Amino acid sequence: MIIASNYTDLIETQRIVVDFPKQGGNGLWVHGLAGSGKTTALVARMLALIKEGVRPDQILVLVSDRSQRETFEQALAHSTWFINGSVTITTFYGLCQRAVALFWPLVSGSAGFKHPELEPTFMNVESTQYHMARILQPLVQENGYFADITIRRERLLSQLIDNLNKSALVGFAPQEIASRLISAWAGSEHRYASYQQAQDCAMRFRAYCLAHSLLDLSLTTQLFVELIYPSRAYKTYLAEHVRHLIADNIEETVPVASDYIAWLQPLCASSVLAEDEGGGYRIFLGADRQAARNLGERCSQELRMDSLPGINPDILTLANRVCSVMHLPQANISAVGDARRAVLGQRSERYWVGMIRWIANEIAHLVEAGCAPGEIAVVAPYVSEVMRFALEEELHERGIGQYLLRPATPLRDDVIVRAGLTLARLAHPTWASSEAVLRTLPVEDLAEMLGVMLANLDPVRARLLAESALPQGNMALTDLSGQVQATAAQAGMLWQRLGFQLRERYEALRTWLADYAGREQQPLDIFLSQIFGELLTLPGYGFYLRADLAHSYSRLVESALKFRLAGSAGAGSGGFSVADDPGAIYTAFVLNGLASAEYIEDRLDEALDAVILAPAFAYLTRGLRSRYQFWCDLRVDGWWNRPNQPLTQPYVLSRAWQTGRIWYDADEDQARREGLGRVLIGLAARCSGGIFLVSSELGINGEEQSGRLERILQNALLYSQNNNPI
Amino acid sequence: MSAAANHLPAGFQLSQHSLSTYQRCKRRFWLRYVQRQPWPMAEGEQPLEYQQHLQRGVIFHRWLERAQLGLPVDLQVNATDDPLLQSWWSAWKSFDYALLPHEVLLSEYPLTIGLGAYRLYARYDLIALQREGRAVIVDWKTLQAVPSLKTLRTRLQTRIYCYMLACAGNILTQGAPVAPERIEMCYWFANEPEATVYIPYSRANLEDDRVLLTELAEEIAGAPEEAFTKTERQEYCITCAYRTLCERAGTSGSPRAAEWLDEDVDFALDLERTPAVDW
Repeated sequence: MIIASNYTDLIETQRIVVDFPKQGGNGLWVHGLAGSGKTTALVARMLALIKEGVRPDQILVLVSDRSQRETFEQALAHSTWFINGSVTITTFYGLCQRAVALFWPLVSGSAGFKHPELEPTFMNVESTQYHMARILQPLVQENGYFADITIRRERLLSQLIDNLNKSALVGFAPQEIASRLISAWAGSEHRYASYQQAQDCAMRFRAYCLAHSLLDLSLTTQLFVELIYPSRAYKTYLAEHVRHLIADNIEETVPVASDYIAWLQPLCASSVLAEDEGGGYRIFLGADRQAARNLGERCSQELRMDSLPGINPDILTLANRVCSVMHLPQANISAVGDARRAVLGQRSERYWVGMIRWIANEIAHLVEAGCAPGEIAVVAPYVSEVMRFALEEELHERGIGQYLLRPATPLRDDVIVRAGLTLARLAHPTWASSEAVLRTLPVEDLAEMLGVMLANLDPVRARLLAESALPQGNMALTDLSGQVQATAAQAGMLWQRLGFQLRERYEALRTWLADYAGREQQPLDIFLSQIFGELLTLPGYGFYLRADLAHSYSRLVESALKFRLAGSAGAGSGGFSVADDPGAIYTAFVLNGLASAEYIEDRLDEALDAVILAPAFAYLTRGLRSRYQFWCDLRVDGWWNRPNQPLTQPYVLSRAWQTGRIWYDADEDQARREGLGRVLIGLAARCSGGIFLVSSELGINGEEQSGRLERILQNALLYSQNNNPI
Repeated sequence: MSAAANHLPAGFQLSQHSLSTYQRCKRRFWLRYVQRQPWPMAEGEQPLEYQQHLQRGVIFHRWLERAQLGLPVDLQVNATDDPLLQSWWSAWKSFDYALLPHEVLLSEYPLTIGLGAYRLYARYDLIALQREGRAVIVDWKTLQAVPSLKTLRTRLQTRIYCYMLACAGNILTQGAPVAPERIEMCYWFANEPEATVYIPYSRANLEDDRVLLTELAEEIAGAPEEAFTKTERQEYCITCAYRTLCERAGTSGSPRAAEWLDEDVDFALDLERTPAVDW
């Protein structure tokens, strides 16, 4: 978004935001639908403050995620002619982390850390999961924890961590997790034990963090909220650093962030808070719309932005009709459109693949008609690897690129990551005895690695080579040089089929790994960097002049490094023991499916001009907008159901939840309907051209589907036909 | 000035590091700062030592920032088992703050100014100024060797930091600009504190630097991608992470790693400010 200093570009309500008094400690609450121009107004205010002489570093812009930060930074970038200084644009967690790192001496002694003299180690998602897994494993194996729950391990871990995060972000004591969950549970008492076990894991994890100076999101936030921002030192620091507050998308903030904003407002010369009506998608991450609304209502002035410069009234009217059919409150819009005009195409195919093909064809037509691929989005409740691949292939055949926006993809889903870890296993034969998943190396994994690391090796030849190269007995690649008598004949025939040029490259790889295995072992991230530089980027190997492939590999190196640093934080007294090899632990953990931390590089690159494929949640929370949207897989229950979370409950662990109430099926049904209504209004408000409604009778695995969303949409359209307009 | 030739976006952020890199190797500048191309090779021959140095630099700067805020730091400092960090700290304790003006003291202070179509960014370790008097920029250096005075005087860091303060210092003084002749750049060396250097600035320097920086920005803005060529001085390539991407892996000679390392310490400090999680 380019906000020039051209004040005349702004609409009336935006000017009110810009002109809102900049002294006197007043607060303005701005609210409106997505697309009503709130962020534009906030950006313009930020620029106006600077232009009027406010020190840029005394402006704090709080955003709900890092992609939103870009919007403000871009505006600064386009205003070089008058900007001197740097504005602090950050998420609430970014603020917490920075403050805890800086004010650590104030809290390390009083917060209960066993070694207050050590510097803190901030953990990312991967490290947090690893340490939680370390605590969980013996409890599962020896004490039978969670025996009654059928759930994949990575999901179990994420829910245990989520409970702790909720306690910190909502602002209740971590000791209350189980009692809150139990008191709201309407089902069998058998579940109580699992909740108690989840509580025990949370407390053990917290004790572990305190013992080893490890800071996860929950502890970092709690330290900031309870010890740092109430301190006099922080208040003194703030007086120098923050005079004006701008907070966008407060409906996506967590309750303790709302508390912080409320505390900060009287200390500032001015504050402007913007709320996206109908938002609050991050409820699973602790966002609390009501807390944000309360915050807004306490401001000295309120402004509703009801003109909708970026919104198509037809699409929003359709979303409103859906809400009406579901007996939900509707979006407050001044201009009512024709819902039927919003739908540019509808299709229900028998087979899932047919649905994907239809989408690709329609996209091709749009592109032929002059629409840029980057203006088109395909939105589904979930995006599986199969869906990514199928649509990518179909679009590729039509000469159109695809950009997958799927945050927190497991690292093991990336072929280059898997290939890098296979190399690491071959270089570290001793790992085979340390972790179950590392004991055997399947020929498929080896073939995949050879296909990636040796240039121009197709899958068929890679498989042939892997069958001969597969380690026998130990974890070393087989010598196929022809100089070993036992394999000489086999090797001769092999290279005749595969080409003798390949022999040289294979042998160089084999001997490099063998040499490395005989040397002093390096940390995994160093090993990966070394082999990358010394071999894999040379002519004949997979990364030779392949800048495009280096992103995934680099992500692996970075992840392994962060994991090592977090794990070695308590070395000697905790963390990795002397006998542990962090590389082996990390490799096993990735291969077992640990979630990936989100990396900055995963962010949407607008320059790519490719069709966006995204789960609805990611699309909405990244603040994307498109000319055309395909709402697909409409018969899938995922549009309707929230993920199965047997060990946590976002509504019960929220601040709004009344202690002692029971969560009944009716609550669940209401929450689902409200959630779906919010998603559809959010999507509608982010689409300017029109939507396509797409489904298939059979699901991706051939099962019959009868999701309710498609029926509701049909009803809404029928309703529009009979009662047009509302 | 046109920013269209090489597709660098308007407002693209330049810094002393990126411009120094540009002067040494245009290709590295393009890969690292424009393309942000990951290429996970180690910068030096001792990657573990390199990482440790980065971490040490980050911790040292954090301690200094805390001390500047008046926070108690002794507990963490006394507990470190890193002798180099200890020696840096004890060296810093002898730094004579009385030599600095102290009406305004800002540590780890970020500043951005416009430079043609682009932005110029700097993060100051410490700015100490008197509103009507001296303005001293202090840079805590953890380099192993102390560069010559001539090198320090002509170093882009000196020129950019002083130039930016002269251009934008008014936001710190709340109105009055900081005249160039009031500005000094102080380099303090953790490994040789007695070699501390104060470099004065002047109006003539300011004009020279304005010309230099404007020309650099214009040159970058006007250059097509193919103009971002590999350096002629191949000794820079020996420890550069992009050496295989540039097909300079076989280069021999005396490595010039220290300068990339210096760049990376600052880079790590800036990255530290990037939160790892949305919230």
